[in-house]
Amino acid sequence: MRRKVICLLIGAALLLFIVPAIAPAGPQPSSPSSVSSGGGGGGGSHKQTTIDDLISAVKKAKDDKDTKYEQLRDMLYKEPTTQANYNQPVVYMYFDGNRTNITRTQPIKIMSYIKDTNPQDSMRRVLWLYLQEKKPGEGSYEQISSNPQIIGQNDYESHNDKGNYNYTTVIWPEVTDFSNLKKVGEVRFMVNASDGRNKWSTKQDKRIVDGKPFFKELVLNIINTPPTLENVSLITQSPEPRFNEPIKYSAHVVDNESDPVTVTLHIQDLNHTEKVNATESAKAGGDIVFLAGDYGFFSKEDSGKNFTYYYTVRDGINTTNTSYFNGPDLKKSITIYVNDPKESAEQNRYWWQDYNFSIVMRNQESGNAKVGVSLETWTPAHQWKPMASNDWDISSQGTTVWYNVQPFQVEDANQPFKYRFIYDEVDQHGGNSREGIGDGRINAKLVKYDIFSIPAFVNWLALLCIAMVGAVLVERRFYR
Amino acid sequence: MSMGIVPLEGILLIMAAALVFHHLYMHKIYRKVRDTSDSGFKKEELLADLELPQGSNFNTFMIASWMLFFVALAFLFFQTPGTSPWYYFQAIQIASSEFGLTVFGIVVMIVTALAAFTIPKVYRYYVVSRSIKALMVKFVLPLLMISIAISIYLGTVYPQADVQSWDHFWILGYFTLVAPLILLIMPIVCSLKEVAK
Repeated sequence: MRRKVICLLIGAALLLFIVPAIAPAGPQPSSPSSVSSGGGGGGGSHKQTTIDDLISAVKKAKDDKDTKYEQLRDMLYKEPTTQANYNQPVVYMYFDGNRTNITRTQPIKIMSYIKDTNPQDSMRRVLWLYLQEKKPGEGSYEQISSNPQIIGQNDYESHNDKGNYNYTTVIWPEVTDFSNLKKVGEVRFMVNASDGRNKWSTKQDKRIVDGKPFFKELVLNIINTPPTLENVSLITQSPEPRFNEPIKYSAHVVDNESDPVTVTLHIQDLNHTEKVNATESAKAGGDIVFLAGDYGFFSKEDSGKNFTYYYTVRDGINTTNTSYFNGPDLKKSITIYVNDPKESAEQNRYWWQDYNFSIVMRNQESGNAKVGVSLETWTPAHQWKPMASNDWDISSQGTTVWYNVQPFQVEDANQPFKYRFIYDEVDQHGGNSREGIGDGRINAKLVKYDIFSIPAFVNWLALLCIAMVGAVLVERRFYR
Repeated sequence: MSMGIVPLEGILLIMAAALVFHHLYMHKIYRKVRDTSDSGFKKEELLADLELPQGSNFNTFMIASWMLFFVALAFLFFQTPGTSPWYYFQAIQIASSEFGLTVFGIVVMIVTALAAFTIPKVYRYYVVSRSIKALMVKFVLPLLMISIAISIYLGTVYPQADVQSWDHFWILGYFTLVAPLILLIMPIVCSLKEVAK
């Protein structure tokens, strides 16, 4: 643009001198845009030529195929840049950091440095730059910049320290880190450049000698931090849990790249023969939990056996196996035979009285077995309230498990009730609880004491005493 | 609803009548004194001149009687099912506790303290005969304590007492409440009767 303006100005200046020569002789009609002014001394008039006059004169000369026009055209023509003088700019890959052991989430800045030795702006060409990437394991480069970086003629700064040249840099916004890289290793970058006439790539440019931070081809070695697990724990209610008790495998997931992680729990016997495994997805920084009950890791056949476990952690690139951990050591389980439960209470069945709940259990295997049995009661106001719990030695002849408790509160008066025994072994029906229904409602009486009782007398006497003491005080204070 | 409200209305009616009698008595006394005297005087001066000391024991008994009267009334009224939205046994935790009635009685005493402490002051304007005083001291408090005992009984058997016996005790409770009330207003009635002659 600037070149065109300069050419136009030069042409205009020349025309100022040559118009009289190509203009027809004799008086010319004055143009509306021309300005005439009287001479200062009152002699002949001086005519001032405008650009419009010049343009119309050149047009006319062109139409008339005047040789002067061709002469003028030849004089004014100037090649934008001459091949002889034009120096093709050098485009470098520029990287000032450490090129090895770059983690996938490490912020990174990839740049190109463009050096142009053409002395004048007018001699430069506009450059189009395209970033190319070759990922690990891939055979060819792939263009990753959707739009080229365009370097204009005036986008340069001059450099005068060691030789005069102009330079500029560009930052490639397409690459800020390698978190999306699915395979680690060497990642290569180069730039394809074009100045409108020539096309070349930095990798093939023999003028470039690799030396940090300038490279023909930028090679970065990307690594991945394998995911790991911390705080691996096995949570059970007792050191020797039963197969059907809550068994919780828990661990904390660590991955520096915050990749989605899949964790596989492998449960093995003591000979490291895998019994079962389960996989769950997790987020780095979060906890992963496997509940044995949810996955059905253990059954009654596993009771009395000891197990080990380990984890496999994958982040899509690396896989890490943890060491082996012991547990759980399952308690030997038995099958019990359970009769219908019974309930009894004093005659009036008041809410404040003790109630007796019992159930007969029998070990279906020989010998005694320790079984945890708990009792819960249900009323509309207090639903399945734990009442008592204990370990009982259940014999093969049958053992009566009983609890004598005061299970109800005043809100339960005049209400029906239920109860259930919950045991930590499996009964003949494959269940671990037995429910019973209370015999009738709880008595509706609310107040625990009768009229002829100490509390009733104390209430009565207390009111009399309070009134008398109050009356004495008031009489002394206000009636005298 | 009406079962509990009717006796309460009767008691309030008696108390209102006593209040009217008291003002009637004071008015008649004022008119008689004014008619027999040439000089004009104010009613307040008459009240001051009419005051008679009734004795500390009598005053103490009357204050205690009025305090317990309000307690006995509240016990009966709030323990009668369906009489009030603030039915005593709705506060089930307090009602079922061993000293729930004592707590309830103290609350009633606090709420009615102003009335219980002020009403006995009225007796100082009346000439209360020894026989009436003796009657009041001997019977009012025992009757009120019987009423309270009946209320405690009704509370202890709630809600499953035999309906007929419950009604009997309930009526007896109100009777032992109305009787002391009549005794408590007897000085006013008797004095008004004397003045009316």
